[in-house]
Amino acid sequence: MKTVLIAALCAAPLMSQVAGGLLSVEPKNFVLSRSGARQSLLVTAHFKDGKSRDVTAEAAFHPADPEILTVDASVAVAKAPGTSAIAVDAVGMRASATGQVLNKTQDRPFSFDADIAPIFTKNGCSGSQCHGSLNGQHGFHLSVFGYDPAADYAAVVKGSEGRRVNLKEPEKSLILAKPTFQIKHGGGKRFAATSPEYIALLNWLKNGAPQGAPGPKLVALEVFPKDEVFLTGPDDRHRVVVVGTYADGEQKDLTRDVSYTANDDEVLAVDSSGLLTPKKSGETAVMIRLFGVANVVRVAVSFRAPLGASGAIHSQNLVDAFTFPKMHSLGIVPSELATDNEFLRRVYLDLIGTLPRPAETAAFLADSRPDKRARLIESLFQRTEFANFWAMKWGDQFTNSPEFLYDGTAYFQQWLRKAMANNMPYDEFARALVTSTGSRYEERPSGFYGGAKTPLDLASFTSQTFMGVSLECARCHDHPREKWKRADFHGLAAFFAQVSEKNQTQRTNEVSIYIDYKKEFEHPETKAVVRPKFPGEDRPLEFEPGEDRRDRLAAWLTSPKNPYFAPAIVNRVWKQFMGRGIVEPEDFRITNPPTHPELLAKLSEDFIEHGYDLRHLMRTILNSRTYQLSSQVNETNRDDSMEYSHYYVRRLTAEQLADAVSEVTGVPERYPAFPAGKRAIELPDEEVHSNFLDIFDRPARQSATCTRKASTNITQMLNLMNGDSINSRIKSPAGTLARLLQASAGDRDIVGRMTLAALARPAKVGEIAAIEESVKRSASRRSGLEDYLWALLNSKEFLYNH
Amino acid sequence: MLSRVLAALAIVSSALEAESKADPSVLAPRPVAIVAISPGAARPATTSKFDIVGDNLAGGTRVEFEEKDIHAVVSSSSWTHLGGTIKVDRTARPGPRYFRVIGPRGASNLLLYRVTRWAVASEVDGGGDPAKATVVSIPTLISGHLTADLTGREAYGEEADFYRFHAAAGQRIEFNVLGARDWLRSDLSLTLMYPDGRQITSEEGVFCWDAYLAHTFDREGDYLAAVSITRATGSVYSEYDTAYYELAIGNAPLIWNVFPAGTQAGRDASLELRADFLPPHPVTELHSRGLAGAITSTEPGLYRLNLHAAPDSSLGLHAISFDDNSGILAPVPIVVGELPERVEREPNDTRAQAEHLPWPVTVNGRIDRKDDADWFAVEVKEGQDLVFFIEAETLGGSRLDSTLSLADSNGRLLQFADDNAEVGDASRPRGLHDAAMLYRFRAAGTYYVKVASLYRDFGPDQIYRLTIRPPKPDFAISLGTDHAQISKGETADLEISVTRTDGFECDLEISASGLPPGVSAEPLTIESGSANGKLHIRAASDAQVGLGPIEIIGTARIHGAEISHSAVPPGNPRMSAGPGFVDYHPAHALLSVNDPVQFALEPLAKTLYLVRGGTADMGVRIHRREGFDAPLQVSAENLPAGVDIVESEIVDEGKQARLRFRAAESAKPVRLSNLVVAAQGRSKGQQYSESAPPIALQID
Repeated sequence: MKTVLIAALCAAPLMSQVAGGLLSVEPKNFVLSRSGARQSLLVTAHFKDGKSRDVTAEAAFHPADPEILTVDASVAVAKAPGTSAIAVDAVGMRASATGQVLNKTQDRPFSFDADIAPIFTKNGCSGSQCHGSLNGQHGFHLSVFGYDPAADYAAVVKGSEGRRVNLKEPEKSLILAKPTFQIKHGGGKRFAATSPEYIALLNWLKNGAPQGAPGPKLVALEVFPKDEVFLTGPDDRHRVVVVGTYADGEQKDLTRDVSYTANDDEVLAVDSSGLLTPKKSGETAVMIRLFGVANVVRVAVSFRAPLGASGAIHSQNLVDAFTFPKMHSLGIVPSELATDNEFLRRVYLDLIGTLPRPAETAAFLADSRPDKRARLIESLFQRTEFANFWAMKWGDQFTNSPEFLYDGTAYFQQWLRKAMANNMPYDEFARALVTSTGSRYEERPSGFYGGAKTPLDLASFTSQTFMGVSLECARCHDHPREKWKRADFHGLAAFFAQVSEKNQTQRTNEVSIYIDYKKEFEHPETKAVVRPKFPGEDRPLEFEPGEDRRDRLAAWLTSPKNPYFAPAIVNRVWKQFMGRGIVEPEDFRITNPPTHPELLAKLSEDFIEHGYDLRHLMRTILNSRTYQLSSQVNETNRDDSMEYSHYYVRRLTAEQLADAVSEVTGVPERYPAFPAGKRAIELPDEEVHSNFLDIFDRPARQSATCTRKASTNITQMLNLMNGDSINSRIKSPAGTLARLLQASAGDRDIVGRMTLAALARPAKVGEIAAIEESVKRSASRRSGLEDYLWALLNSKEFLYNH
Repeated sequence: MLSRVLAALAIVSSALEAESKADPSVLAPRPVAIVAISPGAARPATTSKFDIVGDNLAGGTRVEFEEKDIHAVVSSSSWTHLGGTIKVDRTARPGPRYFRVIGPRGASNLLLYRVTRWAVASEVDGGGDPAKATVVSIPTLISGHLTADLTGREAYGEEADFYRFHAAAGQRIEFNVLGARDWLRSDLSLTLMYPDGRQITSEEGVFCWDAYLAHTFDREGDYLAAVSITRATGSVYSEYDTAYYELAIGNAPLIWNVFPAGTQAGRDASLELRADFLPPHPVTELHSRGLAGAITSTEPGLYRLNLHAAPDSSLGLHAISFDDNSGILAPVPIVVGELPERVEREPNDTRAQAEHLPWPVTVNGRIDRKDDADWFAVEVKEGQDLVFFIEAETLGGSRLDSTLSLADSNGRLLQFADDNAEVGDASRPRGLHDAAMLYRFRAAGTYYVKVASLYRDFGPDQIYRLTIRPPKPDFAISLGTDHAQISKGETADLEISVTRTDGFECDLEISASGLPPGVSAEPLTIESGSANGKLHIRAASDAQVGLGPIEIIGTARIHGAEISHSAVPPGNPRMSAGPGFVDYHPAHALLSVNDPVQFALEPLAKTLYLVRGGTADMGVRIHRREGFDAPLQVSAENLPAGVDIVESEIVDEGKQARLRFRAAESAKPVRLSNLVVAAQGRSKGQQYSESAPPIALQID
């Protein structure tokens, strides 16, 4: 086990005026197309303690050749063609940048795309909550985030019979009157009548609202700083510089043209110039968008007092090597290691969905071997409940429901269960599912082809399931913020075009999946045949006659080179254990960055190196100190919800809870048509009747679900407090309590056993005394002990995993 | 009050009246159907009680076995049950026995009974409580039944049957639920548990819906086996609320598959058998003329059968079996053919590697590796017609669903074939999912045919026989039922279906022989292009009541010669393909001539809903033969405890019965589908009774 002495990282005094370090200027090398072109510069001081600070405002800029370019208020201004270095001095350090001025003397012609459309993006008009929504607002529909300027031109100038522009009296145009709030506007005032935006629009209208030449297409936004920004106090502001690259290769400073949105605006404010102002401790991403192109800058804010040398934190494995340093840099002191009791109960519930039995708890607590936690994890992999629990989770993901598979759910569940029990490598698992064929009433992976039926649905389902990527937007149009084009979506769908269903004879609704090699995927509108192609790639593939296209899709999907496949499952498993995905929600996109990108990359790499072994991934996470931290918070990590500095407490899922109640009371739940003793985690599908499971958010399996809802509501509370689920079993003559009473067990013994069963810990001395007193005051000993069991089952300590 | 409710019901039902009067089939005899026999097995030299469950069984007089070493005596009957005793001869060998119920209402379908040398046990209803599990020894053949709702999802009925048994440390035991293989539609699952209810393992379906597993117990102790219903119940013959099954706990021989699945008459063949739990020195049983064989074991689970097929051995299907004490071993069919045979030679995975075949030929192959495809090449002359057909589904325990692709020497696909019953040998049944094609080659040359699995399956059970030969136009005919009925003085239609093979297109003349005295059949021609026909038969009013075999014959001219084939009685429909499933065809189809039905009952609801402590009304339409106006007394069968008929009356000029049911507070919530309303009346000195088709009853 590797030990990282975080203290070494912490030893230096924190914050700004630290001697030594590095000064950086960004962009380090930039190109100005013509005289007069401008480029904002960002100067950052990186101190030896690992902190950094925006020192642009206090920097002195010294262009080597002022004939070529000058610097005015941290903005480089092109003067004449040539190349000039710029020396930059700040906080006692020096750095340099290089600017190249080109001789593009011809001003480009006017372009609606380049000169007008950005106004709508920057001012939020084309946002997804405004006119960029699916149906627009009040009849005015812009492409979301301005990804389609030609359509936007038509909407502004020609839409609604041209009522938005008044070329005879341009000042009275709705396109001016509304955003300036001269007349009522649901979106409020977006800019003033004196603003540059207003003037640009007015001039355009006065010139007859031309469309002009199509502007060169913006293809990328480069954002500075590239690394996560760390802000330490309310005054620790930081600016962002954005450089756009167009299809013709031209680069342009777009810092003041893009729109900025903080994902969590309680943590951070960002103005239209890209200046970041911290508001409270936390972490967020700032989305930066223009013309359907997006990027982000990640920002961490910590107002906490600097941590001193805090002793060694033992890193147990690669997980800790990424989580603890980040916690420290944010001034977060991780919680203590969870006790053996806490760990035992937690890992049972997280890994096999089941409470430890009292004997198992006692044995674990009595075990003095230093590696007993690791041993326990290994032993749980061998349990039947492990395969059942994970088959249930995959059943959620793959919509294993009679709605789609009729009588085939138990067969698909059985296949999933065996795959988990045999530790089928995850790449093999995915390939088996994607390329599955045969009857859904047999133990096969063809249940995968249940809920999603059309090639388009299968494309969406597959990308979401195995890559964590939602391509839904690209179903109808190019994705407004990501690289996915509609052609990508159709190309992916074409891999599934030949998936066909054959009805069997004797068994009702039995369907077998096979490949009909004659079928092709047709473009929904043009009806032209679309050839299969991998998302993000240009060329369609050619296939041999009789070749199952899905083979190559599965190979591409599960290739180590696929940047999504391993991270998607790593993230999903991480979330199961840690309560929050490194990418959250599970949608891998530029604008939803991971909390710990390096950790995600490292875990993915490690997962691939170990043959896509899910158990290896699980044990890596579970054996980490990070996973094994207590749920008890301290002053520094009370509000933490994304640094994993403590275990995130969560309510037991429906099946975990149902099985836990059965286990503690000794009275199994009975599910229709299943043997008594059937556990909730063993049920094949969501249609098995159980009000209890439904109340506690058993998913309907109508769509792929990797996350369980964990609502808390009055129905649940009433059910637990007054319902039969608990009360009848507490009183059952066949229950554990009745059996203990019949065996003449003493109060302390009963309380001890019940507490151990429910909470995986011995009853505390104070608890025992209080319970004994309560029993004495009860109408009968039995009713007093029943009350205790009732209270135990209604306690948060029982209802939550912690 | 009841009258008012019934008056309203009468208005609703009156709309149906004209329609029902116009349909003469309403007064046709209802079929006699049997669903299950319990217990389903007996040991030699024993006499044991039985209970047959079915529909329209009242008055049943005989249980007739096809074999002669087992006999039954009927002692009681009702509309849904037939009771009596079965005596198994001392010399009876373990295995299946097929039987029907015979009575004045005709003959029933066939059902399966087993002779076993194992212990026989019947489930003791424990109400789904593991603590009340039926204790069994090993080996045992257990007869059990589960009463559940029709959907298997609501909280009615029992959830599972539990069996407690003892296993030694390291003991490997086979658990075999027989349901679908006995024509049940129930999806039965099996769970092994520790006595405290924790699950050891479970299995859903290996033989179609039938669960099967072999488990090695790591420590000595008592264990539980639980059988439960996953989905809808019923049998092939009628929807039914109770799923009857056999559970074999012990090590019964099981043949998974045989390769090759046939040989040429007059040749020796070495067959590979995959089987479990065969006895140490298994004795091959080949119940066919001209076949002989001896078996050797090569490794656990893998055997070699050296088979000799005499030159005069009968062509067609044969069955391989072994001595077996359990009686549950399903024989595996193989073919003795007339064409030269060979076994595919790998590698033949690509067109370039195709194995050249002289034709006519039958090649035995197996799709045994992932993405395996077997290519063969044939040389043909211009204008040559050839048929290519696969036999897999019906043979050797194969689970292959095959495809055929024909390509020219440039690799151009000429024809692709999937399921096709219209090419092949008409003399034996074609599998529903076997591929076949007929192709006329326009140019001489080398052509390539590829055999593959539609589902890309592979393994030792993906066995096929590919036959390539010139077409032999022929036909087969089959009857819709093997137990037809007709009433004296009335007519009936016998459904005939035709399978035309290898391009046969001519008209078929259908005739019947062996009809009982007084019964005649109208000539029937099934014209070219038609696959079905109805043979119209008529029973004279003085025809003799009784039961006898009939033979339906199809005749056609093929290449100038008159060819006749008899219809094959359909037997029981096979629920699935692969090991364990057997095609059984009785020797004859039966026709019963019955006394005319004087009245028929038609429930006006499909489900009767009752709430505990409440009542519900139900109407039953009475269709009377003209002139039959006897008063009727109405009753109901299979009412659960606590449910009674509290009022009944005949209204609407005798055309409708009204019944009021009451469920006591103590009645259990249940959903059953075998509530039968019956009526009886006397006319002209003779007693008549009829029952309505079963309906469902739900108590909440």
